[in-house]
Amino acid sequence: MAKALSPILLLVLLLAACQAAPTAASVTPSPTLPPPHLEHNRTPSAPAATAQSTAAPSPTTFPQELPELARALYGDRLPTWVAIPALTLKAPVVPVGWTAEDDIDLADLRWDSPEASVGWVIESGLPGAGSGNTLLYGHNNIHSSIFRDLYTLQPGDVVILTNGQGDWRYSVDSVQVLPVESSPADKMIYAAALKDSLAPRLTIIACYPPDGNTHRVLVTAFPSP
Amino acid sequence: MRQPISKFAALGLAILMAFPRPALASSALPTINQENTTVPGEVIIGLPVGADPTDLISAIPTLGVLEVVTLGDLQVVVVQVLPGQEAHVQAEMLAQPEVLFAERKVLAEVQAIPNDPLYGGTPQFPSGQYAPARVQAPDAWDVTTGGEDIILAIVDSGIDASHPEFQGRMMPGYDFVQNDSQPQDGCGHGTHIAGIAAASGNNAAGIAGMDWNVRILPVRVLANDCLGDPVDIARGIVYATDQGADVINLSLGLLTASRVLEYATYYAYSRGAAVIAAAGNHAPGSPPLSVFYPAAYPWVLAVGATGQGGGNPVANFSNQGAALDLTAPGEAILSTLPLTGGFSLQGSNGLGTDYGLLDGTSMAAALVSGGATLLVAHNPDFNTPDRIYAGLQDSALDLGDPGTDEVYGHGLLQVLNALGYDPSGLPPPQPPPATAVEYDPITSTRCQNLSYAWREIPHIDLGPDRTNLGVFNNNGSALITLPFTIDYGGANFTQATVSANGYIAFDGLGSEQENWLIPQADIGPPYARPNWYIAPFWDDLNPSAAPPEWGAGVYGDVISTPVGDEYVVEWHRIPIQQNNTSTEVTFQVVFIEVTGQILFQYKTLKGSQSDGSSATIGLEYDDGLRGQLYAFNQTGALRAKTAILFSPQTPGADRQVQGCLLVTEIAPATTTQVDFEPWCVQFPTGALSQPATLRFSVFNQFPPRFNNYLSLGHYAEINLEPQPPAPFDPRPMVCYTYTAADLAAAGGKATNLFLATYDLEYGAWERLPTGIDTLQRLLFAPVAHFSVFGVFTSPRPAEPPVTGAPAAANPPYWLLGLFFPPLLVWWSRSWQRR
Repeated sequence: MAKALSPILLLVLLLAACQAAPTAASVTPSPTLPPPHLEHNRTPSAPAATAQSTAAPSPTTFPQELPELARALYGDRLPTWVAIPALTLKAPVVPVGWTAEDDIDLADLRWDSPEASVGWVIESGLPGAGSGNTLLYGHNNIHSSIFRDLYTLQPGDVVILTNGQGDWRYSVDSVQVLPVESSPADKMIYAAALKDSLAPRLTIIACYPPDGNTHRVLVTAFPSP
Repeated sequence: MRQPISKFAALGLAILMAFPRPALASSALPTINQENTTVPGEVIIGLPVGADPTDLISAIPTLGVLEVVTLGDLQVVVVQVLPGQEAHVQAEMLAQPEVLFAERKVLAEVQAIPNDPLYGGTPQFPSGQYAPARVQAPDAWDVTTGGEDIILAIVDSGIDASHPEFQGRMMPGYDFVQNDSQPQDGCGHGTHIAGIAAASGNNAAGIAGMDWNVRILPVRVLANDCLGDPVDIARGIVYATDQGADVINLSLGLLTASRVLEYATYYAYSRGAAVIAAAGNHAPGSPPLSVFYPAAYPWVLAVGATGQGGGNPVANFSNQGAALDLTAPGEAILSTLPLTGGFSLQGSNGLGTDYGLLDGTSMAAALVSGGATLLVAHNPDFNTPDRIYAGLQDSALDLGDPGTDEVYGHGLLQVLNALGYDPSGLPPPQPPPATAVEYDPITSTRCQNLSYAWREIPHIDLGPDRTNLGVFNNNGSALITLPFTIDYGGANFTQATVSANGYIAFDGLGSEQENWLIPQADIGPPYARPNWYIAPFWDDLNPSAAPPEWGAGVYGDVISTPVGDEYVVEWHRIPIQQNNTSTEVTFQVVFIEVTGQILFQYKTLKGSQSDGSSATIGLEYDDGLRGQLYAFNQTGALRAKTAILFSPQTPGADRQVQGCLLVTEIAPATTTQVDFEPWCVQFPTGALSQPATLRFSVFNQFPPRFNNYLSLGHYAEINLEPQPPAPFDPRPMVCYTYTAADLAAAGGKATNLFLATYDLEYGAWERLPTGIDTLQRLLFAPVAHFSVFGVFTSPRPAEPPVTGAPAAANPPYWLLGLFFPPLLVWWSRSWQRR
């Protein structure tokens, strides 16, 4: 009986270990630091409530959640759908970010989980902007299997990103499948793929194989007329 | 400073030349080995313009800087590293948030192979020029033979300008290999390419190129060994674009993608130059090699080669794949060679001087480039790269599988058909992307280093000295010629439209009475709202509503000062529409020529809404995508006798002007707080023992210091005089109110944000233990001493996201299979027993 249970236990443990990071850690001030008592009247040397260049909304309407924040900042330029005809795929896109788990050495940074949607990294390139690396990622077998078949894409396949301004067409340039427990050379390919760019490009990432997460699929695409 | 590459160059060349033509047709095929053309000991690093790479380089003591090149918004730094350490240095550089890429230097090669002139048994070019007839050139020449105002850039090994086939059409050009202005061809390839595309026709000599009249811009980027440094090639492409090239020919390529060439080709394409490149000469093999870079980028037209035989079979060397766009003849192509010997292709396979045969997708690309310049000369609607590409592709002769395929692309070039193509249905030219610029505003109400100083200009309504700009009526405007060129938002303007509604537009839209938020691009009909403008007081104003005795109007004049000219535009005693004469506003915009600064000054603000409560104040540029908002419909935004100064800054660059300054006295009483939005400082009781002067300067830029965290571009320098003994006890608190943009740049998480202090002695940023109050949107940190403080975020992870679970999902059902044979045996036995 114990033998029969062990694979299931193992499965549960592994699943727990591989869940993407929870979306938001506690944002309360560190207990060692008392928050400053701030009074919102101005000091005599800066009398009038002078305009602020950022025209910040009042704290009550300040967007705290990623989707609201992205909508407030980017409006109709925000990507909302991704379509990949070669995979007969059309999926909603949600903004995602990352969390620093360890505030000392910054080594432990985790990407948010896009859950069942496709994640668009909130400060990455916007479709149609003429510059920037648009970063998308999605699950292959947890929460959803949106990108289970991403690895089957071929150079020349079309990816269409939709925002409030219209459809933006991309043509796949390369599809790479690389191990996670990787050589320094592979790590460099990941780091380079996640970088911003001055020319426009689209990078799509998912786990591989369809029943595992030992590898990553990296799809690079460029806007195409 | 350049690293000698001859040894590796020789290897690369061997690949190209070791195979005479008959061998190419056999199975002994050239195998591409990128190791041979990768320069050891060099790494190419990309940074945004403005970032100072000094600290980045000094982080690794063994690095030497070979070259720093600016290409548009990209800064390329080529560093020398110890051989074998390249990957380590690349990884170190990629770990820096500011670094855009770090790649090895892989040389590009010409996509051509010398052809044997005795092939076929007949001496001297038995087939002559068969290629032009295959692409309908003779028929096309009845329509056009090219235009003298069109520029074709041959970014290659240089051109022998003394060849009679180019007489009178050579532009000066540039040599990026030797950095001089003599782009002489030491390889022979560039001269051949130039002849295919643009040798004079009908001159009773030699050959006929595709375009007989185009101006030829020689840009040398390939060395005498016919190999090219990607940084030189990128410089050549950017140079050709800036010289106004209509078409850029790139008969070169490499197997691996290159971020430097990616940026340079996109730079050319996005500024209106059609980029036509060789698909590559390394097809044989299974599967054939895909299209080389830079041809493989969608914004570059990738040209493959067809052979000499009937039916235009694909040349056996021509690379294939989804990125292939078009084909043209590329076998045994006769064209020009340098007149004097000594170029490196000479003698290879019997190649002589003056004229000779080469094989390659290089040659095919040149045929297409010459065809492309014919289109540009023939029809002014061929004015964008996409329109030129569409004309060439949609009119091609379909070969191979019906429609577009991976062997022939859209098919074989047909120039006559292309000339008849109507491209006017495709999008028209877009304004070129603006170079990155941002404006820091400081105000006289808030910053003690700016004071209001009204510029008096005469108000003359008539006569030759008239300063009245002729802006009348509700929503009136006037187009004016500026006294000096104004560099605004990264673009240059010589004219502007001054609007009665309190703004100056550079895109001609001067009649919009409804004021908008900044930035907000007007992307839909009726396109009435400006996307390039300066708004000191954009509201519904009406100069004609004022009584005549006010002398209301909009005036403009130049003021000369010891440090240069200023152009002043003044709105004088203008009523706000809804209230007419119960309101009036007088304000001015001052363009400061030398510094590019823009000054708003407000003299009179009378009546309701004169405080900006229904006005937009700020700058918008880059087609409405970027701008600097000061206030939007904000009550109390403006007061009379105040000034706002906008100073242009290159993002990330060293600070050129001082930021907003606050000087205030602090008494050592109870808890004292000094607000200087978005910053603040709080002194707890007992932190100060005597009265002191606090100097608080806020700015957006600081010489970057590379770290493993990312600056958000908000800095404050705080000083106290007299300086109390450090460290403080108890410690003061420095705080910062973050914005939505800060939060997005931090991946949407306030917890990723933190404050850091700059250690002037060590020249490094030091992270402060930062508390976060999400309700007040506040970051705060206790400090031991005052210095420069900055807002930072943890950068994007360098590791890819975890998007799946491991393979343990299925229990080992196969174990059941082990039980199955014994079970079968047991069952059969028990059955037998029955």
